[in-house]
Amino acid sequence: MRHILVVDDNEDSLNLTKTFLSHAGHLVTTAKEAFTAFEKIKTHQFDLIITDINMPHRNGFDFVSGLRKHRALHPVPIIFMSARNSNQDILRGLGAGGDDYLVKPITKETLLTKVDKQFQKKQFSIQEAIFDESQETHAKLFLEEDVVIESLSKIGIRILSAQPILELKAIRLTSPFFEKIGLAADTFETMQSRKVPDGYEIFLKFKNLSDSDQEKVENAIKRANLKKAA
Amino acid sequence: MPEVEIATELKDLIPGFLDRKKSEIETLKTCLDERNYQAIAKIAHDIKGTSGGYGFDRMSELAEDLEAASEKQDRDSLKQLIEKLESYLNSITIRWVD
Repeated sequence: MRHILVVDDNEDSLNLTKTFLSHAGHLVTTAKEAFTAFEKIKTHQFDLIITDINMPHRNGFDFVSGLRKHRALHPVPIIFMSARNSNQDILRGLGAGGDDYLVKPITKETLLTKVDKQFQKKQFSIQEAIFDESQETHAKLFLEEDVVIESLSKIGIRILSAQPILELKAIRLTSPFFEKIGLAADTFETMQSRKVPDGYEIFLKFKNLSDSDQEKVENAIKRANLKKAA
Repeated sequence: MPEVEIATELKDLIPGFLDRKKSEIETLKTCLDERNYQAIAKIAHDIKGTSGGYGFDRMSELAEDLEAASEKQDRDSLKQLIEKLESYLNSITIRWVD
């Protein structure tokens, strides 16, 4: 059973979505506007958020943009669900940080297919850290083939440049990743990737890590592995 | 009399849904009298987005036309469409399907 937050100011839409999802075996929490949704996000762990766009006080685009500013804290997948069906709206939604976009009126089949698709996304794992003779630290991440960029986003790494991934030699990373593992941003030096049979290995290379920083990296990787094992 | 097939799993929701649509029709009439086209567009947009999901496809189509007419501030079309919506709501029968 997954816990899904549905945000929509329209009671009929909220009722319908909740019914379809709960009958499919999901736990559903609802909110009628963004502020209430934020409050629920603070106190609950959601597996997915589905949000309308036209809502009072704060629209869905702004709601999602606000959440994505703290993506490391809120890596939850988000689906927009709106009767606004222009390409411009869909692109704006995805640009704001939505993972998918569902045009109303919805059907049960479409809704559940889109929801399941989010849950079927493969996850990444940090596999090991290598501390070499030059005192540089490499964190090796293994990423499955089709989810490289999305997976990086989920731990707060935002790819600002460098595509396609096969040609990736070095990327710029934003600070949430470093904040998440408790490091200053300037400890990061380069990142390299290489293709392996089932996906990609990504190497994060750090420099001049103090003992305490090294411990932070080790602990972050241990936590990631524990999460994977769980 | 139009017959609409609705999923049985929505049975508990339908009375409240239809009551709200009837209430919204009255609001639409008031908004038309007050030339509040923005409010009409908002209500029409919401009806368009929800009614098809319940299975009321015709209602969704009429609401889409209503939304378009409100943007053009076409009073004659708006009046006709509101009447059609009201007539549809008052005449439908529901057949429950699994």
